[in-house]
Amino acid sequence: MANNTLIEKATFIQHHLPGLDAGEYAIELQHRFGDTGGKIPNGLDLTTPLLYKFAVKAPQFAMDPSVVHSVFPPKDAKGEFSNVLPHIVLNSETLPWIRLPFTPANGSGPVTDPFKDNSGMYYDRDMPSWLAVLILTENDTDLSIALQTTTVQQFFSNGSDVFLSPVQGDDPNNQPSWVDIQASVQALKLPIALFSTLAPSLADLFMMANVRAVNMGNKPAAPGSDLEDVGTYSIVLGNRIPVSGQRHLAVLVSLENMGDYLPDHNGVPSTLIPANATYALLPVLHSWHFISQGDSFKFEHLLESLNDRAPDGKPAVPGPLPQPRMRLYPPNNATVPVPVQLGYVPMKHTTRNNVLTTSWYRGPLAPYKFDDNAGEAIQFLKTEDGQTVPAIYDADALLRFDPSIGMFDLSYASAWQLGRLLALQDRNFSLNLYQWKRTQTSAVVNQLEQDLIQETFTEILANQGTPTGNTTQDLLEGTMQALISRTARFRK
Amino acid sequence: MSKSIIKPAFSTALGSIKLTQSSPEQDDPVARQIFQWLGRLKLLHQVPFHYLVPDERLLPPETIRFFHLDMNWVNALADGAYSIGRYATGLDTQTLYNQVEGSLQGGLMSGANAATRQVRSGAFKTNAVNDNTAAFEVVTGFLLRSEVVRGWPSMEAVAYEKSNYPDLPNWDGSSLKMLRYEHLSDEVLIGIFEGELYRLDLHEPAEGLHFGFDTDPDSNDALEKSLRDPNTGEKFSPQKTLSTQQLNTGNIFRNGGTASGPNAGGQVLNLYNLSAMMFATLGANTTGYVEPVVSQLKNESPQNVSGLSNDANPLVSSDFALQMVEGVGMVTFYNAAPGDPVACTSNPA
Repeated sequence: MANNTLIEKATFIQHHLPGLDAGEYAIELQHRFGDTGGKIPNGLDLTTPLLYKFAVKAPQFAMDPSVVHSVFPPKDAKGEFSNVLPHIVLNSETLPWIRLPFTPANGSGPVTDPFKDNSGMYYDRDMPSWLAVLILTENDTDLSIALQTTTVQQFFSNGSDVFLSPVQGDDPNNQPSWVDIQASVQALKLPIALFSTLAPSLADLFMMANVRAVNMGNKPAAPGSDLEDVGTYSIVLGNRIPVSGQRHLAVLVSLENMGDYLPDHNGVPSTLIPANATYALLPVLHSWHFISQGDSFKFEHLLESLNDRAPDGKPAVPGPLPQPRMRLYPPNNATVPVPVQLGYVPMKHTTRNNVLTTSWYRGPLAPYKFDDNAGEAIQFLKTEDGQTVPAIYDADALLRFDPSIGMFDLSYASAWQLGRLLALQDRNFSLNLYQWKRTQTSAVVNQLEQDLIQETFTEILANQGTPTGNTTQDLLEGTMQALISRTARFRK
Repeated sequence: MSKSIIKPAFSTALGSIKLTQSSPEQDDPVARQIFQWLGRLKLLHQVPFHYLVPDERLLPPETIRFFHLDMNWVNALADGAYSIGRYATGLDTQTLYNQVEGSLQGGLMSGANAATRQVRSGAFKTNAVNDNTAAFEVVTGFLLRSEVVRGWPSMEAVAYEKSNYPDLPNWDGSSLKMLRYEHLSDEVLIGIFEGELYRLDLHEPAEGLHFGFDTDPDSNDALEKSLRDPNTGEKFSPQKTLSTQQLNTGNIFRNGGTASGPNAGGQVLNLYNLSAMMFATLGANTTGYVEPVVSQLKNESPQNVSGLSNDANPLVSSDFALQMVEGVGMVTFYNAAPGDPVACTSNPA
């Protein structure tokens, strides 16, 4: 069963390469005329070129936190993580490839042509990610000062002992207009040796990001969130196993352009890092802490342990879930009054005449099934003289009183009052509703007037020349009075 | 879209005004907005958390609670919202306003019912239409408060009724209609379903599957890794495993580190080498794709290739990810625990 869901619900994808990498682009457009007779002289067959510039923007020194879908181990979680590789899930499926880890000055850049295998099938080549999750422990460094708040400018020049990734042009004053070099950002400052111990090699980066497409049908969703049926996420994983008993700092860093300066697969620093550099400064796009200590932090374990149940096959099949319902469970299974068994909670209640008392309240989440047929359903409409009208005019109408114990039940009164307050609080809704009711009412009044007038005039016309009937004047006066008395107050 | 405006029909004599409920008309955008607002309200959107859980002891940390939605409460909430502008002079409720409102109320609440059934699908671009305006009979759900919500925020939930769930021979493949499934906070999830929830399956979310190794409890929790068949995603049977010994000697760990417990913690991994080892071990089971990363790297960044053999090709990143994920977890709850004093009945034992 479990494995079936894996097949049905997740697709593992190498990468989702962006159409264009982040950066500035220019399109030049020029029109060339041609004819067969060679009548257009050289130099006049071209129009003046038009130059269009545009840019693909992407996070560089900082990232909007909303891009982060989730992290594992969770932020501030405490549990046994000593056999997992931490990872981060990003809502943007192209982000790990929108920049490149290759150092531009050297080599020929990434190979992007498709690869053909022995059977003639074409594949995308893997692309290394420019993002990586580094894991720091308390043994490595003082976690409280590993992260620094700095400005973007510090990634362009920061003293000769700090190694920086080559940034486009390396001139902070010659950057695209949207790069705010004074912006406050987070940075990770590590000694070169520690950086080289922890950082992945360029080869590792090929393995450290991928894309997953998943069915969204059974996932939590806020209303109006405009989700696709299949969601795609990119995932960046770390390259280090957490240490039992230690606090960890996980950091999503940028390794853009760092290819030549990454360590080899034994953690030996790159020889290209200048000898006088003692620290490396990396842009931090996200970071979180967790502690690897204590109980297992597996999905099944946590869920099976809910409600103080004994998990993990002790006994082999977890027993029935204790205390499953939405009600108060007293310690030691002490006997409680019936209302408590039915989900009610005693609440302090200040009545209208300022008397402090205790009353019952239960929210909409009840611990048992209602039986409407037993008369438990409340009627919100009533019928008088053949007319249907609302039954509730103020919240007090829904107060209920239990004479046997002398206590009020505030539940439905609270609900009604809350509904009214929520409606009033939402100006848009309350105006809409008011206008709509008004429109409906005036439609009724209009029709009523029309009918009155119609009837009157029918009578006037029928009575013409008949001296015994009501005079026209009487009929008109009667109609006017009926109109005024019945509908005038709706005409204010 | 559901039928929307409800136009009161009436007949007048000079004396009394008769209002009777009449058939709704199509597509009044204002009415539709009102339906949608009430539809969400009926699923307790905007209702402050302490109205749902008035006492913290109802939902302590690390608990799951099942509930029946009290439709009286919900209808009172909706009636309160609809009551704006409603008034009665003394005992006289027979004002024209109230008569009009009363004649509209039934249709309005029907429209809200359809809107309630559409809230969930409205969260998706496909937005399947639901015009079932029937009143809700049984609505049930769960509240989950746990670290697990923080760890796997997009865990998947499927609910079934007692007569129709996957382990039954006559299961028709369907599940209860999900009306609402949403975070109330970082660690609280609410799920609301139409129908009587008997079984709830919570699935580990596919995008949140975490990467890791297996541990051998007989050997101080030393690390090892059992492999999956890339064609099916399932673990091999009999198992194909990268043993602790293999991991130790395969240059997987930097600086001579080992996978032997309990010292594996803190090790930095050469994921490329690990991927290449998996490739070699899977042999004929791989999908046939050899990624010539080494030769590519020689071109791009020669100093990075030192120590890597030209033959040591890895799996592609997606196959590597498939191998590295641990199993997909699923936990099932049955909402009728034996011995529960108020198991789905209004008669407390």
